[in-house]
Amino acid sequence: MPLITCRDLAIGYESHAILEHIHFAVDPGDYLCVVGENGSGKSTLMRTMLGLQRPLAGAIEFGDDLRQNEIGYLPQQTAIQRDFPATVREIVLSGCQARLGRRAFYSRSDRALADANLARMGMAGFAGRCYRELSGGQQQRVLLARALCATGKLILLDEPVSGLDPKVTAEMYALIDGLNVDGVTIIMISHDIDAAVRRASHILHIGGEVFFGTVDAYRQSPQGRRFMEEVST
Amino acid sequence: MIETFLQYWQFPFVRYALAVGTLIALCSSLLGVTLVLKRFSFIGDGLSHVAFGATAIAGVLRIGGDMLFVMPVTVLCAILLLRTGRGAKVKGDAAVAMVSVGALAIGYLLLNLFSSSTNLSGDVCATLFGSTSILTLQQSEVWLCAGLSVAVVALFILFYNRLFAVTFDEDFARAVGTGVERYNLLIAVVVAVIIVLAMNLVGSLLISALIIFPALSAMRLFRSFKGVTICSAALSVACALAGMLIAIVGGTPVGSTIVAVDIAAFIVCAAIEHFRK
Amino acid sequence: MKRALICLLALCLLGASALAEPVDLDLTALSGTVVYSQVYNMTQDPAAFEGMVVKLKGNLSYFKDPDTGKEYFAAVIADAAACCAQGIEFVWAGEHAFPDDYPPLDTEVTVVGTFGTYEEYGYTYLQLTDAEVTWEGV
Repeated sequence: MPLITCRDLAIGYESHAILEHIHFAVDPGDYLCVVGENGSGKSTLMRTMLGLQRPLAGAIEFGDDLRQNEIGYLPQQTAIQRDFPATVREIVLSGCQARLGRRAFYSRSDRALADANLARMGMAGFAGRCYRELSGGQQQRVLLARALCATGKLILLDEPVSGLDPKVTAEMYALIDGLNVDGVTIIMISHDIDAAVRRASHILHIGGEVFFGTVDAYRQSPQGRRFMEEVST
Repeated sequence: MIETFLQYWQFPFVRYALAVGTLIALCSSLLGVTLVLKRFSFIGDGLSHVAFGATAIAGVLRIGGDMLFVMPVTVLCAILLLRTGRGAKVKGDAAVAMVSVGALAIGYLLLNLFSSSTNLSGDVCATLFGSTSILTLQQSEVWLCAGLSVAVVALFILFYNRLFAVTFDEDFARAVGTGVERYNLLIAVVVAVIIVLAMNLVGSLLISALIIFPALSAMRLFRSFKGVTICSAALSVACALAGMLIAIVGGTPVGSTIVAVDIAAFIVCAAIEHFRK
Repeated sequence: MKRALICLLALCLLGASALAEPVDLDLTALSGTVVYSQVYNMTQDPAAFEGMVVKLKGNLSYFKDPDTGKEYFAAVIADAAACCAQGIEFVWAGEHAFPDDYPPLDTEVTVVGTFGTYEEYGYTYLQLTDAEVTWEGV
């Protein structure tokens, strides 16, 4: 049973649709890359899946016991966050906010979960450090640890490697691959189609004609072929 | 020195002023960190002008105990200003500027046209700069201020973790099911309450200083949100107490003295940050 | 023994200060901010101060009711922001004529008198009665 199924989804702002007739499904353990040009609606699609805005038409269904608030989210960083005075632990712990329920304060198990996810991202020694003094790659790891505190099932990543140098980019991809191997379902927005095709199990290509399918099918598709030609020339 | 202080201490209104002033300073600093980080600093300024306009209307209508009138009006405007952030024709800062100068102008106009007071400029000056308001609180106002301050501090502690989450990343908070709108509303209401309280301490023109200076000073020195929050509260209380004592003993205006001490504290903090590097 | 001595000393001090200072409320030694606030509070709750001997400094102000010919004198105190002023009316004990016996208007005068209220035309006014008035140069 799929974790997420989108049926005939239309997304956009107010009554202006950016994208229509989107169909796709994500099964547990999938690694889906959403690719497309800038401005094609990738971020809008992600915001709609997260429930930050309403779909204009169609439906997003959550299956396999997944609730909408059980999606971990790695957003693109804002200017406010880059110079936010907070420690790494404070930020990771905020990933546990849905676990608070009616409580006012985080419990010992919340703290343990935060520390465990920091360690999982290779940032165990950084808990007391100031977030704004970290490098871009380290900040992304912290935010990924926060997303993991929110859920172990499904993580949405919005351009997780933008602004990172090649070495750090490779490390970030490796971390994400590792999570997928551990059974975390991944949905990643990327404009790095090359990396997407090498790593993902499925591709959703939006902008122009929408394509959804496995990576192998994508290579055979008109969109995929066009892309392959662009790369080879 | 101590003798002079004891001489003043025997006046009950001096003791009330120090107690209430401390509580108000504590409240105003708590949300300062969130407001500065959310780039909302000017909402405080806008709302303080709204509070001025509301005070003017209360004066013209001769509503006794005007805090009970000014409070709801300011809270309402806070909610409206926050709403305009999304989807409105007039965007964020323009709306704040519009409401703020509008309230100031209409308030002063109403006072001029309809006020029955014999000392109009005195009333205006007291509302804008605080004058000696904190030293001339009636018993009932003292309890109202104290009660509301305690409520604000309690709410802040209770919702501290959510406020942090909403301040750091609204989208993430919304995605994991935190009621972001509810907490933004809470912030707006609490800011409005703080502003009406703080009008008694520093007057409506100087409230922003009370809200943002301690937060900005603390952000020079501390690297964790909790550290910044606690330092900001401590600085705010210390500066307010020092300011009030200087004003009481030296005979200077209370509001501007407190703000001057806040500015001095900021300069010291900025200098410490500079020499640390 | 030591304790008894201290008690005795304290009693003497208290007694001495009571003898030397018949004034219940001396506002002359306080800062402008506090004097203004205290006077404001006295206007808000006069009953609490009724009958107290008050000493204060203020600028002489004079008003004559053109209808009744009655004369009023007050010591005016401004707050630190200089936007608000509070006046306290006083009645100088004994026979004194204005302007001959009084200093020029706006002179800073020190007034010691008994605090009380009176009603006139339906309003309540505050005043220091049986007052002693002094100023620099006298």
